[in-house]
Amino acid sequence: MKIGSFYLEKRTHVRWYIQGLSILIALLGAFGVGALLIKTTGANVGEAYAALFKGAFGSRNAFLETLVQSTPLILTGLAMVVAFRARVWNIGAEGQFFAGAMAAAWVSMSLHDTLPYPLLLAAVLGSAMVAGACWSLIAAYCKIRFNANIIIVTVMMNYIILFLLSYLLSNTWREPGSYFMQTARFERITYLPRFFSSRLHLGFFNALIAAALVYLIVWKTSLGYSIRAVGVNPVASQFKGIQIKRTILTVMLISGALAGLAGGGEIAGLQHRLRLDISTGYGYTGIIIALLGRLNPVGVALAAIFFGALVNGSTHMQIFTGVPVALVQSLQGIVLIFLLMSDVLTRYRIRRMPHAD
Amino acid sequence: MSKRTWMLAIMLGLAGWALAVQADQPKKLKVALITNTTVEEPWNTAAIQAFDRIIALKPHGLDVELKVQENVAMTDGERVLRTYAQTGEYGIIWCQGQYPDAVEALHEDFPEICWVEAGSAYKPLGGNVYWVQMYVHEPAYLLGMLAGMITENDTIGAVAAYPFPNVNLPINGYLRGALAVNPNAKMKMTYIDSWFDPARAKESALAQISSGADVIYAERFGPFEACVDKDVYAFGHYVDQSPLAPEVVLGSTLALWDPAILYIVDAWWEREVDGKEYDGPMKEVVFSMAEGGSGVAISEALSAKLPEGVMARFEEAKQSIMDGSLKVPFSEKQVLSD
Repeated sequence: MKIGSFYLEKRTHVRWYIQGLSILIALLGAFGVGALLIKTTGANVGEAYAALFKGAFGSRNAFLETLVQSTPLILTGLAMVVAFRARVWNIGAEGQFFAGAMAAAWVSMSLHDTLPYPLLLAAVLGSAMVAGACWSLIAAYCKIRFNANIIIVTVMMNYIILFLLSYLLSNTWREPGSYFMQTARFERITYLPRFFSSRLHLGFFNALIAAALVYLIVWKTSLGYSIRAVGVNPVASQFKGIQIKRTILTVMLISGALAGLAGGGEIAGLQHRLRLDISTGYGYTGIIIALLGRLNPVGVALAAIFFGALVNGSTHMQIFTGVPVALVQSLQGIVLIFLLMSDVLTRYRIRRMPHAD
Repeated sequence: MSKRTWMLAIMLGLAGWALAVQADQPKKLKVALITNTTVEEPWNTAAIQAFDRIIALKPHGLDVELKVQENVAMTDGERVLRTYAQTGEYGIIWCQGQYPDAVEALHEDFPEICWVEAGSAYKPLGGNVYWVQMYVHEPAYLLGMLAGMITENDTIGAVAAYPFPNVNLPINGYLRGALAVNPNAKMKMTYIDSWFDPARAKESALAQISSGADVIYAERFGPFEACVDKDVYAFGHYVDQSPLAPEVVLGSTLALWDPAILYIVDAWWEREVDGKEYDGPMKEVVFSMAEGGSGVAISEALSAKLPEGVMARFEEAKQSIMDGSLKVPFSEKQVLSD
């Protein structure tokens, strides 16, 4: 790529500590810009960041709540890892999240008095995964059968499911006599168990297990080899006998199931009723999480906890320093920008054009 | 010591004790106000304006401090409310947004806090949970009377959020008011199925105007622009909205939270000072227009241009509501378009 008299040359090998360093520099840059934003509110930068940290990790309860906030992000982040490793740009985790939530809600509402307790929870979470996978399957089919652009299809599917849910919540699923578009609260038997007398629920541990499984699948199986091979070079993979279409399909199913599980976990572990606003864009934030975690399950878990901490700490920061919660939302965007910049700088080298004469 | 010295000593002791008790009384009260939407939303603005007046009033000599947290989603309510409660600094947590699940989950963990639920979506919990409600059907009735008197086509309009009880209530009041002075009045009614959708509200108002309505009650944001374009009168909701479009907004209902806030501050004070436990009633608490719980704002510039007798009739009805001789019917049923 040429920029004026400079061009970018791809580095052949980037050492792991350079990658780590680039993330660190990106985060520092983002927090630096964030500091300027805090300045504009008239607050003390150090105090604001200290309050942010304290709100996220300052006490046992704060830390556990941070983990609660990170739970859906770990799963949507993992969903992106699987897809992006194969260079399948699934931007539909938001819709798949809602598909999972809707299936979990349906099972909670209709099967709570037919299935015994542990089986019921398995059905709630299992149906969420199946529903997420099915919703993602539609996009995968469009890609495989018609070679439709997967980004566009998955984004459109996000809107379709929201309107479907909106229809259900204003008609059949609506809580009778309620003021809001929401289902009735589910029976207590459908709730995921909680731990440490906090809101930390089983969903968090499911997310950790999912991270381990994603690692095993992507790096320790032949399927994972195909996924990564297709991601690096689809043409060469095809010549080596990897079935591209089947890989895309599998990747989309796994990715959708993970996002669906995130939705199911939020429903069964936290909200206990279905509403249109159960997601604050977890599907989209998952993309940033995956990039921040360098498409690596451990990185994703850490990045998700970092973002969960930002959200959880922001309330504490607003209470004690008056810096609005919105700062954290902009901070998340700034992190992404710096991350993309540092990504280019670590993977490419800037060189001066050799003179023609 | 003589008897007189004893008496003096006892009196001094009593005075000292009284002073000590006085000194023990709280001087400061921190209130957290949590909202679903932005503070610019009239529902929230009205509450914040009322708090500002209470802060100036200093009830029980208290320095009341208000902390507002806006845009808290209902699904995030439990986390945010708990964060406020855990600071231990807030005597009152006032939910101007709707967080029934969160308050239900939290109120027993924080018995020293007075939890206030403002609005319709709640159910009574008693104890340290107080449910205050806002009814503005009386001012809406008065605005309806104005509408009925000034409409030239005998057609009035209203643009509202959802056909929910607390939305239908002022709309019914408005319609009854119009019919009271103009039995021929026809009503154009649109529910925009959103709490905040200015574009849709404006379109709805335009549709009503083109089908003959020449005065619009804007229960939500948006219709004023249409009214300015087509030059018809409009009414605002919850706060005096005439500054938004002074050329058309003739009046607004006012949601005055002041008596509700004082009622809550008293409950908090009685527990702090007299040790009286919280005892939230098992029903919603409402203050009528006569009790100062609601009111009506009228644009002086515009009302001066109205035909003779209109404002006199309005003032007379207002007086009758205030002294109780006029009872505005209470109806929460959905209003249909004529």
